[in-house]
Amino acid sequence: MRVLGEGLRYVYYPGCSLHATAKEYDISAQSACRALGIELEEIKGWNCCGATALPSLDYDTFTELNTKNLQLAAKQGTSVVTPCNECFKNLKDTKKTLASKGNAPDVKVRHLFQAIYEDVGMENLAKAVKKPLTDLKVVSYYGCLLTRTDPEFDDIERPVKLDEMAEALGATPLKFPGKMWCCGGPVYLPEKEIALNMTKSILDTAKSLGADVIQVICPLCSMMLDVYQNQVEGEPVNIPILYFTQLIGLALGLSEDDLGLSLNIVSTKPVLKKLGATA
Amino acid sequence: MAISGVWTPSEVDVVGREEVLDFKEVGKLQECMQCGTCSASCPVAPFADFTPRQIVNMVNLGLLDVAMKSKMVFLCTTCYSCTARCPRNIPVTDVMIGLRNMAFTRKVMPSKNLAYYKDFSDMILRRGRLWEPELVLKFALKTNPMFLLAQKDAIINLFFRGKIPILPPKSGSDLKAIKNMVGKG
Repeated sequence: MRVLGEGLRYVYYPGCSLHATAKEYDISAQSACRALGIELEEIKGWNCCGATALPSLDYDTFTELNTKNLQLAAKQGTSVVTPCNECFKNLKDTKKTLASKGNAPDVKVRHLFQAIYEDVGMENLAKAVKKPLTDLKVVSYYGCLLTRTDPEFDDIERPVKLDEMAEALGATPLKFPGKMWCCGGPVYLPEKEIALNMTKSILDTAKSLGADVIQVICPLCSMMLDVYQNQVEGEPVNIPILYFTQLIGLALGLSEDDLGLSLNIVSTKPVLKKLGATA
Repeated sequence: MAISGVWTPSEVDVVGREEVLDFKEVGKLQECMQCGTCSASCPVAPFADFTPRQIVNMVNLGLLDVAMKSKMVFLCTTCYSCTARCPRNIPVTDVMIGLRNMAFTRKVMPSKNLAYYKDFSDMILRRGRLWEPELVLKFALKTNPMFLLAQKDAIINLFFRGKIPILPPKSGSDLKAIKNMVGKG
């Protein structure tokens, strides 16, 4: 049988979080890609993208740093993917800056979700599903920087492609007004209360819709929604936060360990229970 | 041509405005019609002193000193809602970033923000990659040690899942060639 993503090979820029607080995102991204037949090759010697901190101090140093990252990526291939929204924005912005000067490295920058959506396709993904996520009510949380950095990819105000993915996996995507609300992540350190206030709106809205799970595509969004969920004021909402790669993996029949499902902070057991897996 | 008695931004000799947006087009700023779409879209404007609309106007008026010291500029999460919705395609978020750069160069950045940005940047330019325990610890010690207490649960939860690396990460590639404008500050 032909494997779906056979022949697809991406240069992989994991970003700092995926080697630490978002370990399960790295584990599940690698597993899901392997199951789809996609080869991920990590950039040798990649550096941090600078997040929001470095561009806030000196934009030129920031551009230099990411020029280096792009050059390293270009050495290993022509298509680089990153699972992190912030890394995606920083690499893409730097590419734009360089392109305006006519010396951008020859490498295509995409978010991992974007690459899977465009190259594997949702129809093919649906065909590969072994254990459909039947009756699982999913809200899709995009975070700020995917569609606002690349408005060509999905609707900038009301994006739908993550919902299409949930549907392809057999789940039930809910209409969620909070898709594009900011989680407050970048100001958590200096302004904790304000950031948590923003996180609360997203969690409460998802809860009020009766969502079983919030699917995310960014480690910082997950930090706010998952790790800091119990710091949010009021009644605990207890909503599992899963990376989109964990949902794909579940539908492809991968194991809990393959997807790092015990590493999420809010227990993912209710999701597994609902799907009838051994919890 | 300007109608007499009516002020237009281009008539005013604004010193330093180019510095705010020197990495993007500064000319675009003058097309702002003060509609306030940015302010209505901003998730943090309700918590700030000025709105994004006012910040853009300040830059156009040359009130850079007020703008770069405003709470708004440092509360900005860089969510890009304002930029995405601006009917005149003004890169409002980049204005915020530009003002932060300016505040850093002129040494007027609020200490809490400076501590966070500087420790983060110094670390990644030194190591190549972020080591969160060092960043959070330094930030708490410099600003408010009680911050760590509030992180008790998060630290325990992350630690027992092996998500807090005890040792610093593998370093990235050599960054000596990069002109580091941050380290000297």
